[in-house]
Amino acid sequence: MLVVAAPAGDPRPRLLTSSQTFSHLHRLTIRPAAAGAAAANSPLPTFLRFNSGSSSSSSSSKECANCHTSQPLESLSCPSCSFLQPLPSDIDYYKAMDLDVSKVPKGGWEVDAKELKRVWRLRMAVTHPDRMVGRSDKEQQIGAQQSALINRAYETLLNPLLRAQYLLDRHHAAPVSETDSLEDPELLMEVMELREALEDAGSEEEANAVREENSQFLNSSIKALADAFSSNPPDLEKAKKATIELRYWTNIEKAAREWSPNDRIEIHH
Amino acid sequence: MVFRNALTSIARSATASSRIAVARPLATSFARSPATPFAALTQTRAYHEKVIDHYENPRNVGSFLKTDKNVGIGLVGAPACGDVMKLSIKVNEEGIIEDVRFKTFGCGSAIASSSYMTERVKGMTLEEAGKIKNTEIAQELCLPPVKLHCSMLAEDAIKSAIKNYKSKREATGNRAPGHIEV
Repeated sequence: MLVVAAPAGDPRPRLLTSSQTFSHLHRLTIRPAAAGAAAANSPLPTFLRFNSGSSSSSSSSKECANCHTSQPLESLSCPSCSFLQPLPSDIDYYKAMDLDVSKVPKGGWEVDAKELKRVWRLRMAVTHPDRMVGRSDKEQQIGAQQSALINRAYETLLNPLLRAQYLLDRHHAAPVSETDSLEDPELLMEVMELREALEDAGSEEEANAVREENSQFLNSSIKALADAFSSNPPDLEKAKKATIELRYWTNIEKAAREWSPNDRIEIHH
Repeated sequence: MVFRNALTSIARSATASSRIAVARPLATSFARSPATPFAALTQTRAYHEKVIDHYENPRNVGSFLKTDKNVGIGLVGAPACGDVMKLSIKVNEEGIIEDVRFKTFGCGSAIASSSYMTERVKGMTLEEAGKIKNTEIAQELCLPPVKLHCSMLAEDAIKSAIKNYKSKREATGNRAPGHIEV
């Protein structure tokens, strides 16, 4: 007999008979409800695989593998039996972070960073590896998949550049191709000037000066994105252009922040 | 100019900048010259030695003054990865590219492509330089498919520099032999 924690809302601990304990689950494979979650038990998708809002999940809810209770796709643990639930790998990042995208201002752009962090913490309290003590191997695997996805959702929505790319993807905008070339002279000259100033910087103060100058451009691109996404319908061309610019400023910001004497300026992809 | 101790044995180019804008090749295992089959096997995401050579010893780093009437400057960017490349050519009255400089902020392949381009076009006519295909660069540097767009960027850069030079000549109404109609 096994005593398990009570399901939500029910104060009495449940006593399970041996036929209901988890031992039989060792023979079961987790059958995720959504087609897209087939990757749940395989190596994680690459970080830059963005998931669109109209997800390829075949349904809008999933079933607990343990007790078959139906629950929303973004549910982390079963409301009935607390068993951990895999997240579909193409889950809507807003849903994963407990946000209704239609209620986020500026067409989903103006995400409240504090609120996002609060939700992330709550989610991590359920799904972080450190919380997996006592859980079966299968659940630990599910927990790992969940926390990786939650982290990706969090970082994507928190970081303006990633959020912009994610929103563009959601709106099915044509992605920026590798073969695209850019000849916007104003943008490129500004980028060049900032990069060269950073290259010539002889001290942290000078590097910070470049960083401050760059932050003006960074903020103006962020504002352009807020404007573009809040239009109805969203101005995707404007958003795409601002995203390209934002990438340049973001890279410069990173280089300036990580500046140190004697270092070659490095660009990592 | 403040001299700093070089922490590595990177050869500095003789031109103006005391620090070179380059990128570090990915830290995941690379061998300078795969002397053994095993070294070759460990090159998971390695840069070819030719690319590394251009990165460690870039040729013709720098730029010319854009106010110089004999100078054409090509400034191009790769929006997908945030790279920027500036190629400056100095053209003599016979229409020959007598000197070249480049400045690239980007990955090792982008730097190598532009560095190699400067070597290639020096001494060429504008027409010859405009005909260089990115595939030649990619082949020479043994660029992997994912880095082909870096060689494309170099091709765009030289074309942009030629275009800039010509439009400057046109603006001054100068029809000297250095001017080539296309």
